[in-house]
Amino acid sequence: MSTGVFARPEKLHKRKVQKHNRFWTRRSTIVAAVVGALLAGGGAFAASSWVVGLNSGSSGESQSASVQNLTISAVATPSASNLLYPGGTGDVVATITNPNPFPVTLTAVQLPVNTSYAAGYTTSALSTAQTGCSSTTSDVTWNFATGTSGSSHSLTSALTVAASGSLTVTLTNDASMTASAPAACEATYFSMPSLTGVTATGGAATPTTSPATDSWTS
Amino acid sequence: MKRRHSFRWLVFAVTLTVGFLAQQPVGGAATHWTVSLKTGSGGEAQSITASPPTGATAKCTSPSAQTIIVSWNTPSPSTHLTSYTVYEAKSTTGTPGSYTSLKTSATSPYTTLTLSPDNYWFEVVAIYASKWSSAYSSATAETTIASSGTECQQP
Repeated sequence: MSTGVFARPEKLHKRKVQKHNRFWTRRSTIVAAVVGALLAGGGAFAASSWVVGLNSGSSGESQSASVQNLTISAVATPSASNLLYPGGTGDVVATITNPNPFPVTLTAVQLPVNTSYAAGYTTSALSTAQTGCSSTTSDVTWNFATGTSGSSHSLTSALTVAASGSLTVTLTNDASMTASAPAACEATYFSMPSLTGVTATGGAATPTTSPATDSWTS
Repeated sequence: MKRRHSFRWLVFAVTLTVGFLAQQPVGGAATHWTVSLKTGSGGEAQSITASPPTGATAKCTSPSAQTIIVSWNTPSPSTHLTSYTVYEAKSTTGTPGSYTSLKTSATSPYTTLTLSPDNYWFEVVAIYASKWSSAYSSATAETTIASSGTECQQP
């Protein structure tokens, strides 16, 4: 049977409807795809827009250009409650500074090797070296440090440093002095060896009230 | 018609899902990373002060005995103080000679054994964590032991 201009009117109408449906099916599919893609991209952006600033590819030891280094510095206030003695442990007081425009939450620290000793000073200003109690003789290390540099130790409680803020924390009994520490290290202030890193999470979080108390216990 | 609608919704849903996943950071790496620290990032710790005993004194046990009682006060702070050592110095003159250890692990008050005739002074040292010694306490006043008469006397 011919499908040309001599087709019957009802068939002609059916063909028009089919053609119309095919057109709308194709158009609808394209529209659905475009709308879906836009929604997906927009939704993702809205959900984690701060990730863009942190470089979503940052992982492990790497660091995006937009993430600033944290600084952990020695401070004398508040003074340590638990003081070091031969064969014992003592508190470490530090201020963590976060230069980033978002809060950073610390969950663990990475320690240097256990033969990395603190240097001794005569005052809390850490400006005048204590004779006979140097970074080669003090026998003061981070507690639970191992023979391997970079060993990771979880904090008892996570510490959140406010955006562009700082947090002073007492790390309870996280410094250690061997039993053979020299007498020259008595009544001495110690600048602890540099940590090799921290494990931190960026993003919205309630800052920890300063001064805080925390520790790692293993 | 139903099939076509279903197909359209399927395309919509798949596109939405693929697009969303494509925007996500891999393995959550973006929200968990190790931040490097500036060189010198550490903290401050402090060791105990080995404070010496205070208020050291010497008294005759009795005028007729050649022994002396040495007493002292616990220093403050005294955290991790484990023992005391008593030192003596003697001299026939009014000036003490060098101090030598008389009694380790002593407790206050400490009574000496019988002493030979001489002039005596005492000082006490506190030992912390069985390792670190404090400075000497202040010296006690001179005490004289004689062989006869008043055998113990203090000027």
